[in-house]
Amino acid sequence: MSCLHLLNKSPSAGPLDELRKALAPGDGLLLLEDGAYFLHKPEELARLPQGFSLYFLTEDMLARGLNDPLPANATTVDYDGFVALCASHDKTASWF
Amino acid sequence: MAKRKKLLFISRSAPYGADRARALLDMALAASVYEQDIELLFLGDGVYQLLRDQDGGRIGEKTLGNAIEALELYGIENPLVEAAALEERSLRAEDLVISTVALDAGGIRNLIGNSDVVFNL
Amino acid sequence: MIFTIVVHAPPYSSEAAGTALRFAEAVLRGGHEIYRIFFFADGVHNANRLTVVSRDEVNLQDRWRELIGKHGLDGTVCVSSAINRGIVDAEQAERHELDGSSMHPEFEIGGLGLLIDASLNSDRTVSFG
Repeated sequence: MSCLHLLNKSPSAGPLDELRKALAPGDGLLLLEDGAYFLHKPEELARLPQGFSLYFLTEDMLARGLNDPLPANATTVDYDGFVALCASHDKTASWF
Repeated sequence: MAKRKKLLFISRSAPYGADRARALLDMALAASVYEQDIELLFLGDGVYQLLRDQDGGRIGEKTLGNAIEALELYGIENPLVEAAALEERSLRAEDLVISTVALDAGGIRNLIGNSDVVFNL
Repeated sequence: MIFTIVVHAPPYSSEAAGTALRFAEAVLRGGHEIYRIFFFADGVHNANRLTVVSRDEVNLQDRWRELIGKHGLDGTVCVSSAINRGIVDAEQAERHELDGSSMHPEFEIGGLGLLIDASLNSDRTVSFG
């Protein structure tokens, strides 16, 4: 069963070590709030295992003035998309 | 009510510095009366909750280790612990207040995959 | 689909309470149901009635109570988190001999069991902190 992980911390502040052990193939990772700063440091995402889908919450990117190009495997979602992602995964796990 | 659910409680905060460890434990204890399948996993710094010889009274707090020892009374036996978290902190089974079941990253992924609800603090 | 939303974050000191509010609005906009919004730990401050916010700032407490009131939602504040943070309804105020309620009446006070009950009765439980 797939899990949508929510990460709202910046690359330097987030619990990446723990998340690395929890992310499974087929899961989704939504970067929101300060998680949006992963857009500026996409190389930090290489610390995570492969095989998951990556999403950025548009409002938080725009609020922070982040206009770096989206990583190739990433998609942006608004709040309606956020809700849809929760529905399309079997559960959510928040890493605040 | 719907079918029995698998509730996973991931405890990944050290005790005392913040109220997160206590809050997570309170959630798991609250769940224990609902006759569901409950799993409790200590991840990362959460393993520090398991240390022996805690004395919260020194800082005006309840000793969290005592609450951990009492988990059994609530039907939460042999909680799960991230093997690497113990190893990285040079902790051994005899350093802990209760006996635990060690999980590797694959085990953690399966555990999350098989859960219906994940509480994570 | 039925959602439960758990709010651990207080208003103003972090973004997460606002995120939870915008998420709740989107859940309803998407035609889904909200079984309960559970305010836990510092999240109970979202129910504080005794706040003044400058005109150019969003009053999150007001936004929550409007959302809860307008849609007849269940907004439950965790009792043990609330009373030691000074969030009390009229009943708790009387019981503990305090001089008045500090909680918006749209919210309710309840035990942590109501969080578990909510997650058992919902398809998704989403936490914000």
